[in-house]
This record gives sequence, structure tokens and C-alpha cells, in this order.
Amino acid sequence: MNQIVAIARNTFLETIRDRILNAILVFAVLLIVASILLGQLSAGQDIKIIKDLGLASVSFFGVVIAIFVGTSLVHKELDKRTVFVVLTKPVNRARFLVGKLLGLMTTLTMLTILMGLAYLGLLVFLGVPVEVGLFQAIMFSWLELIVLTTMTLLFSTFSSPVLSMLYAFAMYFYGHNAQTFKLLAQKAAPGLRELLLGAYYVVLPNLTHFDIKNRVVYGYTAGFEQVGLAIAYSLVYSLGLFCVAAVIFHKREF
Amino acid sequence: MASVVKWVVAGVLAAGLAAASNWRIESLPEPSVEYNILFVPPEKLVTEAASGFDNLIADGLWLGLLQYYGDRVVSDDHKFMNLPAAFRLITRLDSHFWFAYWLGAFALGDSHEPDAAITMLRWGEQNNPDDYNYPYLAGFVNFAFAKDHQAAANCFERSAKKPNASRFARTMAARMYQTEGQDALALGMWQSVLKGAEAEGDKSLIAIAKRNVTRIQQEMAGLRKPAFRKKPRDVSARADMDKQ
Repeated sequence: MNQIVAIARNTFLETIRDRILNAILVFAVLLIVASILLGQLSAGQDIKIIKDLGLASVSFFGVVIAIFVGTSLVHKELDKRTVFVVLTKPVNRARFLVGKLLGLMTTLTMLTILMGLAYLGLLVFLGVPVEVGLFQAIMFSWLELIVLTTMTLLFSTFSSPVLSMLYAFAMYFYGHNAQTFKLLAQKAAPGLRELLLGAYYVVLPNLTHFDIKNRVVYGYTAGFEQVGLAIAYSLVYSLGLFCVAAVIFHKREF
Repeated sequence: MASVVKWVVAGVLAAGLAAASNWRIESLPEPSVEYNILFVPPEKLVTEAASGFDNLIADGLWLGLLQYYGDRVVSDDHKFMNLPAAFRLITRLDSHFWFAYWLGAFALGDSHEPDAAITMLRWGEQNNPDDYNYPYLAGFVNFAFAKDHQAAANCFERSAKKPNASRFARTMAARMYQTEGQDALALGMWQSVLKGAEAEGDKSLIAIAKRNVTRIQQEMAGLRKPAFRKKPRDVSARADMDKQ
């Protein structure tokens, strides 16, 4: 356990040193400038647009950082040969990965909380009622980040950062259009094609489960069951991805 | 020190050149109005690629559309390009964006595209089935811009059946049926308005409804000439927008 905590702490400090948290500053400035300008440009729709922009930015910054940092997480260690220093000690390879994942997730959690606070603070400042749905949308974005971070970690165990990034963005894009594959599977003629499309839909991530930000702006609140299932899906799917990553990393020769 | 001076001089020169080219570009003649087209990206591409950022993209398009529409209105040049496509894309991306529907209904109606407005409002009604505003606005577009009173009456009646509907929906439907000469429907609608007004205790509406009920009953009995009857516009060429 101590080993995992040490690796996670190191990864967290490393991302902080990379000035990842500067994203919050950009986020805050973006929101404040938008709140000043939109009043004049949006024909009275400024609050709606600020709500949309805030939630989209929380999600966007998180996703970009998860993918950019996550894809170089393992590669950097291999490139700098620091992985040997760790793995020559009695540290299990899977534990090394857990530590890396937890370290990055700590950074992303902190980032999401701070961006969420800045966003909700601005809404309070503007006198906009803060509904439960807005908290839920931020929490759902964080759940999505867990899946994405684990996925990028998986890619980084066997691929170069650039390719991992491409895979991750492709998966992100697929994940938000997963319903199309479901539709294709339903419309395909019975047989191998239907089976394959159905398998894609089940195996590949369905990130639409975490996307409620477009609805909460109009007062939508996710029910207890939906929240529970989203948490379960995020954790179970990430666990599955992590198992694959652990196997690949275990078999990998440096 | 000398190298720093070199960089400063180069920087100042570059800034000067940038300013000069900027000034030159700005002094070029403005493109004529005909070329001032609102750019609307392909709907299929945008909706597929939105990846969960649908509302934000709709907001961006909305801001662009407002500036374009405002410019054209202010300049008294009412040549609008791509308005139907722009409103359609915005409402496809954010199907609850009421204000976009509202502006779209008036802007499209005003630019002789009432059918595009009705189609947009029907999409809004499909996605907001409990909101009486969408069919109400569609009724208004049919009435004011398409001059199709029958379709307007259908829309107002549909609006009146929605939860918390405006009482004006029923009144408007009654009046539309009256102008179309559909006395039985108009009578039923005015009687329903009367019932609602009595329940609410709205004296002025009770008086209006009673007056109309009596008038239609007398018209139906041949005791007086039909009022409010308008020569219907030929809308047979129109797509069957709101007849169902």
C-alpha cells in the first residue's frame, strides 16, 4: 500500500510541476470574460450560454489533460529509465500502474473540483440558482475522466504517446457516438456483421452514459438509479481496462 | 546586449509590418452584400462530431446567427441567406433552446419562410411534448405569416390541450375556426373558453365568450350574417404542415 501511495504521490507532484493546474486559471478567465461579453452578444441568453460553456469547459479541460498527460505517463518513465529504479525494488508492476493511475486521478479530481467551484461560484455571483443537476453534471464528467484516464494508461503501456493520444481521442469520439453502433447493430442483417457491431457496442466504452451536461442546463436531475449505474459503469469498466493494462505491462520487456 | 537590441529592432519592425498589412487589408473594399452569407456547417457532420458538446456548438452558432441577423436588420438589407439551415442546425443540436425557436419563428416568417419555421417548431414540439409554447407559436406563424387559418386553428387547439396552456390558445383556436367558417368547431371552442373563464371567474373573458357563443348560435340558425369570415387564401399548394 505504501508503495502505491509513494508512486501516486510522485505522479501527482510531477503533474503539478508540469503546471497542469494552470488550466484552472485559463478556465476562470474564460468564464469571466464570457460572462462580461455574452450579455451584449447573446440577446439575453447569457446565463444559458455561461452554463453551457462552464460545463463544457470542465469536461473539455479534464479530457484534454487526461489524454495528454495519461498517454505519456508510462512512456516517460521508460524513456527516462526511471522505471528501472522503481521496478528493481520489490514493487509489483501492477502496483506501479495503480500508483500512476491514482496519481493522475488525484490531479484530475483536484482540477475538476477547483473548476467546478469556480464555475458554481460564478453562477452564484451572477445570482443564478445552482441546481443539483449542475453538481451531477460535474460529477459525471469526473466519472468519464476515470474511464478515459484508465484507457490512456492502457494505451501508454504498449504504444508511443502520439499513437496513444490518437487511440484515446478516437475512443473518446467513438464513446460519444456509441449509440450509432447500437443502431447499426440493430439494423444489420442477422449474422456476423450484427454480432461484430453488437460486440463493439458492448466492449467499447459508452461515454454517453456520463453526458448529462446538455440536459441539466434545462433543469434535468439524474435519478438515484442513474447516478448509481453511472458510478458502477465507470468503476467496473475502468477496472476491466486496468486488468488488460496490467497484463500487457506485466508481459512487456524493457 | 547587442543581440538583445537586434531582437528588439526585429520585433518592432515585425509589429510595424503587421500593423501596416492590417491597415491595408482593412482599407480594401467591403464585399458586396450578396456575398455576405451566413456560414452554416453541414448538419450531419456537426451533429455526429459534436461528441457531447452539442449545446456549446449551438450557442456558438447562435451568437454568429444573432450578429448576422442583427447586421442585416440594422442595415435595412433584409436579404437573409441560410437562415432556415442555421435555425434548423441550432435547434437540432439544442432541442430545448426556446429562444432560438422563438426568434426563428419570427425571423423565418418575416423572411417568407413560414414552412421552415413550422417544421422547426414541430421538431421543438416533438422534443418538448408538454410545452404549449411550441404549437402556440406554430399557430401564430400559420396565422400571421402563412395566412393559413385552418392550420393555425389546429396548432392553437393542440396547444390548448397541453398542460398549463395559455388560455389564449383556446381563444385563438376558436377565432381561427370562426374565420374559416367552421361554426361547429368554433362554437365548441368558445363554449370551452366560457367554461374555463367561469371556473377562473374572469368576467371580461366570460363576456367575450358569451358574446361569441351567442353570435355563432345565431349565425348557425341563420338569424345573422357571419362575422369574422375571411376569404381563405389558397394554401392548397402548401405542404400539409399542420393539418394532422
